[in-house]
Amino acid sequence: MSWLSRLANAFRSRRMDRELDEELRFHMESRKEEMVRQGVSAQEAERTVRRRMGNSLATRERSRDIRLMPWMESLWRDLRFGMRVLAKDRVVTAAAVVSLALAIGACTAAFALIDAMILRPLPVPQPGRLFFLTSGTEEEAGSNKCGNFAGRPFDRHGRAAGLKSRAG
Amino acid sequence: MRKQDALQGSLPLLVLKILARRGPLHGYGMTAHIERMSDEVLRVEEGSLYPALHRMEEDGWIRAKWVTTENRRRARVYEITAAGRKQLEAEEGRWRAVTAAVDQVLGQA
Repeated sequence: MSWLSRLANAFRSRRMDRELDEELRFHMESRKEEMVRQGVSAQEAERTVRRRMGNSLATRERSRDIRLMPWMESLWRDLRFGMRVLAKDRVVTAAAVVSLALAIGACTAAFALIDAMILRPLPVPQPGRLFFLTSGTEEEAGSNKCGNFAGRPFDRHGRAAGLKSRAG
Repeated sequence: MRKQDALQGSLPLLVLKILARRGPLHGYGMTAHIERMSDEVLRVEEGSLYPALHRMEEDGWIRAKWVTTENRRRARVYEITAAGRKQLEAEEGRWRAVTAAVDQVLGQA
């Protein structure tokens, strides 16, 4: 049962704890008042009540378990029911699993592509300073026919465009 | 703690009975009633009362709501439901049958 109570702790609601605390506190206060009315000193009453309540944390835990158990049991039943239904109709289950796998795979592939091409910056230190250099007429430039640039002509082009030569 | 043992199985029955007879009560009121009515023979431990109350609430025998008491404190008050009354009837019958049987055995032995 330990994994169950751990699960309960993960989902435990603060409101439930607060209400249990408040309920127990009311109980202690009432008993204390009753004892004081019967002539017991406030200190003595306080001590007796504390002893009687014992470990109120343990009481709280038990009460909380009682409230959480039905919820967890029904979750567990739902899960088992789901598995049984899946196991009963193997063809449908297999079809569902395969189509889910394909769809997830396709999405992952598409995202990997988009991520590499669009989302990630280019693998150079300053992608914003990359330039596309061509020579020839504007028409030829538009068609992406770029010639090779040897070092010297590159410098010349660079200076013409007002760029600092990095070949230096 | 022998007094508590005597009460173990009968706590839900006593709670249902008191709620049916006295109307809505909070936990402390129930312990006070049970103790007074049994001439202090039965002692209700808080450690068993509240878990029992919450279990009965989950089972739908009792219903709880928060009210503000006359000295302006918030108390959780329990009330018996229709299912609770049915349960009380069954439990009470069973209890009487068992105690009568035990009495009979004790008388004959």
